[in-house]
Amino acid sequence: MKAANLLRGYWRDHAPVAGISAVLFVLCLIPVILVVLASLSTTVPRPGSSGLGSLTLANFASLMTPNAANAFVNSLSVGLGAAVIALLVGGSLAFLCARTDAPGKRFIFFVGISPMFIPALVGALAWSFLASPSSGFLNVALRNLGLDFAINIYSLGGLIFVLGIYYAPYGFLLMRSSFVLMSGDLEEAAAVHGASFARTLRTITLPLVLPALLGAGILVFALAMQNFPAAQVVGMPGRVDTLPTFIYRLMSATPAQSNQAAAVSVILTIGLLIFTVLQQRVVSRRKFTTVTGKGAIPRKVPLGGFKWLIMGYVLVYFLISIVLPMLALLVTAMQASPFFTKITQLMQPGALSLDRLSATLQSLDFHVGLRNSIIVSVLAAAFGTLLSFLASYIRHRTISGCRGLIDFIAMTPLAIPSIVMGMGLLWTWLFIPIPVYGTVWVLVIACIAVFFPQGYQGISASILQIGNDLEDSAVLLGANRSRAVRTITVPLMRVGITSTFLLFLMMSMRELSAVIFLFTSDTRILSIMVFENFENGQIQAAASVSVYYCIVIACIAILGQVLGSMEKRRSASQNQPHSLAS
Amino acid sequence: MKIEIQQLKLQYGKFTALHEFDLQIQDGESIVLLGQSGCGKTSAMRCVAGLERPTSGRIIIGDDTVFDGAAGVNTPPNKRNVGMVFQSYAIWPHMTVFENVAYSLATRKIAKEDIRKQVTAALTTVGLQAFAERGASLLSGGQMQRVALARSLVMQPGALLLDEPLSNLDARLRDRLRVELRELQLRLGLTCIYVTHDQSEAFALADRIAIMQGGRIVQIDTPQNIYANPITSQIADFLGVSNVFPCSVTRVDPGRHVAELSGHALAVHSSLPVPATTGAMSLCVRPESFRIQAADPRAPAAGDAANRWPGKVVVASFQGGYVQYAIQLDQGPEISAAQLTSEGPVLNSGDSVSVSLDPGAAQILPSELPA
Repeated sequence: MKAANLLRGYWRDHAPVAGISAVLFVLCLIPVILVVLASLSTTVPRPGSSGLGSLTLANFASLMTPNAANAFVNSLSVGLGAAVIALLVGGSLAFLCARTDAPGKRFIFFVGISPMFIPALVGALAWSFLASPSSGFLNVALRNLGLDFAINIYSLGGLIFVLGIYYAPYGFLLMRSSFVLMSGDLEEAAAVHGASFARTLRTITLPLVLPALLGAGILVFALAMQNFPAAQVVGMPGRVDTLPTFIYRLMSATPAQSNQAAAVSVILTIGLLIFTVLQQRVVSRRKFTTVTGKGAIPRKVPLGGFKWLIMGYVLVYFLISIVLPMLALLVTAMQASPFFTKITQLMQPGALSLDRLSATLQSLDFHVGLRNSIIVSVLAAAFGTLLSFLASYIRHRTISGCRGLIDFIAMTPLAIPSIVMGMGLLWTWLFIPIPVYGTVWVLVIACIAVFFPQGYQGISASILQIGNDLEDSAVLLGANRSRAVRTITVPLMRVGITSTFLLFLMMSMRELSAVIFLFTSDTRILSIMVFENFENGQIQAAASVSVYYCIVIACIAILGQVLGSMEKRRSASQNQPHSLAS
Repeated sequence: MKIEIQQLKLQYGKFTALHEFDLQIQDGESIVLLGQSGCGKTSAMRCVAGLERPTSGRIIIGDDTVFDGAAGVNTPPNKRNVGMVFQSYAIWPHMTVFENVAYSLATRKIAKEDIRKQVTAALTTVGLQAFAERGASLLSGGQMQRVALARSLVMQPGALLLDEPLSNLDARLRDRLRVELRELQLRLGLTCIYVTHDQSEAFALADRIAIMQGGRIVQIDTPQNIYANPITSQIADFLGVSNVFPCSVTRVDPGRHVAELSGHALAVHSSLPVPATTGAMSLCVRPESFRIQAADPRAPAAGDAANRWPGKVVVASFQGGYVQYAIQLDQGPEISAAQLTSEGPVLNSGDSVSVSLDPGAAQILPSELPA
């Protein structure tokens, strides 16, 4: 009796942590382990063989070639270059938006974040239409104008440019919150003690936002370095090889050189790991230094005569990140003939038609792709949010000593490039005797695994915000634990849960790298369709699907906006006094 | 309902929050657990609520054993029928005042009409009947405290636990709610456990005060007895006795001791009984026990001639009803003294004074409990 009770107590303390850790282990860690094993072996992990029988370093040795070294250097350059562009563009927009009297702040904010909604795949594709050296719209236009000058997007510089402008929103968001949350008191104190505005900016403001700047810089570096779609679309035609495209090439060679691909993956992962750890350090240190959220509102810098020049700068960024690329997609999808030598040809009657767009809309392939995309992202969002909640709840509301383990496992995918994760997931789900490979479920699992760190962090922040007392008091008042969670904790976390759901939804809809090795002919999703069309040279089909792809993504973004503003109105009405009579 | 806590032990890893903790609380009694932060008072209360699982021991509420480490019994909090007012109040911001208070009734599936009646009654008890439909995020601190109280009262708890419920309020409101809480507890005959680090709150609310140090109860008694007879100088210090000086003690007469202050050439006579112990002793004097006079050789000396010392005012701080002095004794330490404004003119810093002390107000106590 006594022993049974004690055993039950022990079980109750540790079972939830053990259970969730096991699930996360399978989801997030086994893929990584298999990639590492494959990199040290001559065979690929498959049912019945872990590949452990034949350990070797030959895969790494075979990478001592100029090609591999070149890909490695290119990856670093892309990361660094994109980070610099993203910080310059994002940081300047953030400063304009948060700390100056620039007109149209809402517009600047919109311009600052909207490129984030365009998947790098689509952005790169659109820019290849705009600036491919032979037939890009911009280059044709330049030639028509008689200028002996062409923009070559198929180059290292082109790749850096594309990734830089599409990752600028990360710089914008991180820097803006740092500018907004910074207490004006700190700057006013500098002014009172005799500092000029410029001096205050240099000695107080800049050091205070430096952690955000560094954090954003490292984040963009990591994202750009591991980016596969843009590198494949604008890098490969110009023979600019990066580690992710190198991995893809090795994997899709016949016969597939999987073990070498795994070795490249390990190298890429180690590189990313260094920067991820660095980024997390910087971000966690930031908590203690700048943000107070209280005190005076920071002073606004008057722009004076530069106002219109600066608005011009904002418009140019908007033009190159959104307007021109979207136009290029649309025109390419509508062009009757892909061959043209003069921009004015596009104005002639019959040059543009809706035929292809409507044909795409009616094709079975597109229907299947759209349906799969929606199924995958909704399921990934639902299960991803649920799993994040369970993991986070167990992490923060139980007493087991091993709960720190959950943090570790849940955050691992952050340091694993999506394409590597995709490779590991492929082997994992061929290995595990659950028949999900070949179904949409394996794509769902991939999306959850790749974006789990973000979901887990979002839910954890929300859980920590509401504290234990609120739920405990419901239990003391007679509710059992699950009722207390249902009636108190979940409703209070509504905002956090909704935004995590939307995050999973959006990210899964956009994802290509993680699923590139996992899809089968029946489980294509929209990103795969765009990519395949491009790879097969069906440029106009790729453009046509991209147009609808962008519309779907815009719908999710708008849904997020609507839910967000509903939430704002709701909390505003909750804070209105209900009766003025008393 | 009566509560019995027997041999309760609570450990977090290597840290022991409660050592063999014993406490009996009578039905309708109000017990205050008083101590500094980290003394284990909140842990003890959370064990009674069921929010912490003790390592061993036994807790009995009424006739139910809700925790028994040896038998593996641990009733979950929702089955203990214990109300609790959290330090943060834990008022659910997504509900109205009414919904907050009705929560425990709704989990019991009671008819809507009955719920309305009982909630209204509970809100009337705490004086918030007009606020029922208000969103809970719009309440002031004092109102939240009352909602938290009503929310617990409506379930007719066997015991009510209060975790520093006044610490988030401003001083004036705190004074008023202290009286209201005590009045409510007496009127409803509630069994209360109340946790605080504020001695005046403890005095006002308790039938008995349990003083806690390092996970143990070191003294438990009525407020009056604890005030009059703290058993160590450490407790006296905690209860607002601001003059505590280490000393050595010699007995001069039956019923008369002399304390020689360590490090000073100053002896203080005491006519109070001195507990027999081998450990270090301290002299404890309340600030209001000192009598202060301007040093005037012609004035008649007041009080016991043995306990009179010359000194100088260092700081005089006028507080309205009384004056707070810091006085440097010529042959002794700096003391803290308080004198009613009606008892004499306010002296200035630098004034020479004569300080006297009734031997009946000089307590000589062991510094700490023998371990």
